[in-house]
Amino acid sequence: MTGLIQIYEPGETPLPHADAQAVGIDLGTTHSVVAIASNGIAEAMHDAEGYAIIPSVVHYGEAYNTVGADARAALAEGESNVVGSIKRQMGNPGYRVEAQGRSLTAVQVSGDILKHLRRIAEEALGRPVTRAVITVPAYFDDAARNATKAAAAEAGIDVLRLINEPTAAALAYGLQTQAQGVYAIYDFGGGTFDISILNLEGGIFQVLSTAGDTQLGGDDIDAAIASYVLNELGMNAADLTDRERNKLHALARLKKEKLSEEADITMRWKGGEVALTKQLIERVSVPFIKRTLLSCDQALADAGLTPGTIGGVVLVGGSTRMPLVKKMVAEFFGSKPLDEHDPDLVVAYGAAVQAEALTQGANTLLLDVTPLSLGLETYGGIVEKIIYRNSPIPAAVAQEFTTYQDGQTAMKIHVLQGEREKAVDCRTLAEFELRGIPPMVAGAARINVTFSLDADGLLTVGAQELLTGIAQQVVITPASGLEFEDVERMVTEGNENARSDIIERLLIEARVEAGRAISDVEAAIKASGALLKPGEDVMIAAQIATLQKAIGGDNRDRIDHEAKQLNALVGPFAERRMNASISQALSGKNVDDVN
Amino acid sequence: MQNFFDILGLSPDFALDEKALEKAYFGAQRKTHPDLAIGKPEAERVEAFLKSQLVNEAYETLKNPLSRAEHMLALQNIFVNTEGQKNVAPVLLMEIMELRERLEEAALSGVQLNTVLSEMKVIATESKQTIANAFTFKNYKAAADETARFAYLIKAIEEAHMLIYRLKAAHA
Repeated sequence: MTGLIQIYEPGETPLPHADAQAVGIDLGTTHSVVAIASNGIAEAMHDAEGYAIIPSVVHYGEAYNTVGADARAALAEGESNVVGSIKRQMGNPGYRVEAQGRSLTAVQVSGDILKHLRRIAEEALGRPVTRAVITVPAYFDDAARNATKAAAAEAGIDVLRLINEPTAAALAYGLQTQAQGVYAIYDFGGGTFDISILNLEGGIFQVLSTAGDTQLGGDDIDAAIASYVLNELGMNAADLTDRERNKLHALARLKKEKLSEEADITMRWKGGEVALTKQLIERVSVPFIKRTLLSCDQALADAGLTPGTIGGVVLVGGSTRMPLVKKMVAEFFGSKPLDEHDPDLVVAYGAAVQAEALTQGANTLLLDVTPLSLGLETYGGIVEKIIYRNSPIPAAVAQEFTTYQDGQTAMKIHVLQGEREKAVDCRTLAEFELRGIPPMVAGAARINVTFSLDADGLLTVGAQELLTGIAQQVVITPASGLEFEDVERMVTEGNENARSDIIERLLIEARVEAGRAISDVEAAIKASGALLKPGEDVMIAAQIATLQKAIGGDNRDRIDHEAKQLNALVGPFAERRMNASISQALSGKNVDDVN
Repeated sequence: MQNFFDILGLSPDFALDEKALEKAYFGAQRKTHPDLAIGKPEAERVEAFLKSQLVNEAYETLKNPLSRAEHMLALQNIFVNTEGQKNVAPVLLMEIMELRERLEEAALSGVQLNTVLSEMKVIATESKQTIANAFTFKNYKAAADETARFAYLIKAIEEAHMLIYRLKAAHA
């Protein structure tokens, strides 16, 4: 991206309409960048020392904080009161880090990094900066996205839009090259991997699908090299101190980068020497790169595409500098990867371009998707998905539920995010109760639950009982203590366990449903036995006994069959009762009082 | 009942041209997307959200041939039950069971799985054509029956993809 990187000196204001324009911020795990765009071309802003790539490290001093290169140096020296890699904790409400006797949240630390970035931008532009587009990993869940917004608020920044990192990269790349067609953005960073498939057409950037692995990055390759070296020297990783381990990993990383250019190299560690060849590093790296291609497979399948249909693959993230990564990606997609841009800056450029589009107007329009499915817990701890992953946003989906017990006046709404079938395997976003449902027989109440997902990927859930109009609504805020890495794990596990999950789910569902049917029928007979016709009670009782026997077994079909028989038997009685119930509910009386 | 063709300004047609649908969708989002309402009063932003999500729903529904068929039938007040196994024609039931058995056998060897998958895709394409023909002749009963069959085929194809993905994951 030569010609794109034009750096401002502090105090310089080269853009027209600059007073209103928002900046773009790539708030990264290891480093951050702030940039501004003009006519779709973005430029990074430098700090006073001349750095555009700002390490995302904060050194909490007694008098003031420092952010960036100095703080990272302090971290490498093992000094205390230094915080790095805070992004991994975003959305984890239980996380606290001690610095200068203070207990800090991830939002506070990220807020301090953003304050620093804001200052860099203000000095470069010579004006106040209060609005920004901030990038987040595609796999950031709801809690982590909210935490990012909260951090921006702490730094006095109004977030115009959160955009996904691979999407931002596509935006910068697409605008610079005027590319059209379907592109893959392969984003392999130090700690995470993201793949997005986009359709670029006449200024529209349509995300078709996204997938990733938040526990897979270049750091894993460094660690693998380090353990090879230790093994060769007959040393044990467990004997290393934390500082030694950091140093060894940093050394392994340096050697890995050098081997991109040289054939073989020697690594010295604690008086020992180990010869490292290019082939050896590649052999160590292959399994990790293969895992990234597995995510590529999934993203392609979700987009309904095959590798051959991709027009080009844009490489993003420092780990894509490895020649082997380029080679394997080229083989997988059957085309030469596009790597003529700076993989460390392209995300911030995309954010800046979007910031310009949102504040100055532009032909560019971004159509993004939600990376994870959203749903509700239903009976038996099963998740009913309301919005599926890779659905375009904004989205609003309404679904009707009903009560499952006679006289039930409240309903628990448990909102979940993830791909697994059981609620315990997904992430809880919120839990609330809809109260004041008029007492009716099971199945008569109509509860309308709506999921609204805005263009930032943030969720609002509402529930309303349709007969009475009683409503409740929650805006989802950070709730549970999981790390965002768990999100990707949930997707992967969701795929791997899908089959056994489904079989188990079906059996559980069948049992729960049948058990519920029995208790419903028994309760109904107890409450409104007067509505039974002669002989009905005997036949129903016999069928209940048969069904109970089926529930005791593992044969789902049999349970379903016997439950259906019961339903058929009870049908006419239930209808008589339902009619009586609704007319009573509307006149304000309880059905069971009048029978 | 919302007519999703109307929302995108298209005439109802099962044999929808994908490029035409995409063009209509992009055009509609260029008018409604919430990004265009940033900085505007709350009422306008809410309206942008509501319209834009409806455009998304219309596009998603029409893009997928199965939901497109279901929607076109729903517009005729015909509701195809594609979930659960109620009232499945015995012939269809047999076909589905056979497919399932073949899938399960093929799951033991990855190569065969790919073969079964491509065969199923051929059958699904034919089924889609049958649905298109039925709609052309306004034979909604036939369209509904074939849509029910198509739903099972799509489900089986998804299952095959899942099995292939899991095999690859196990080897990675």
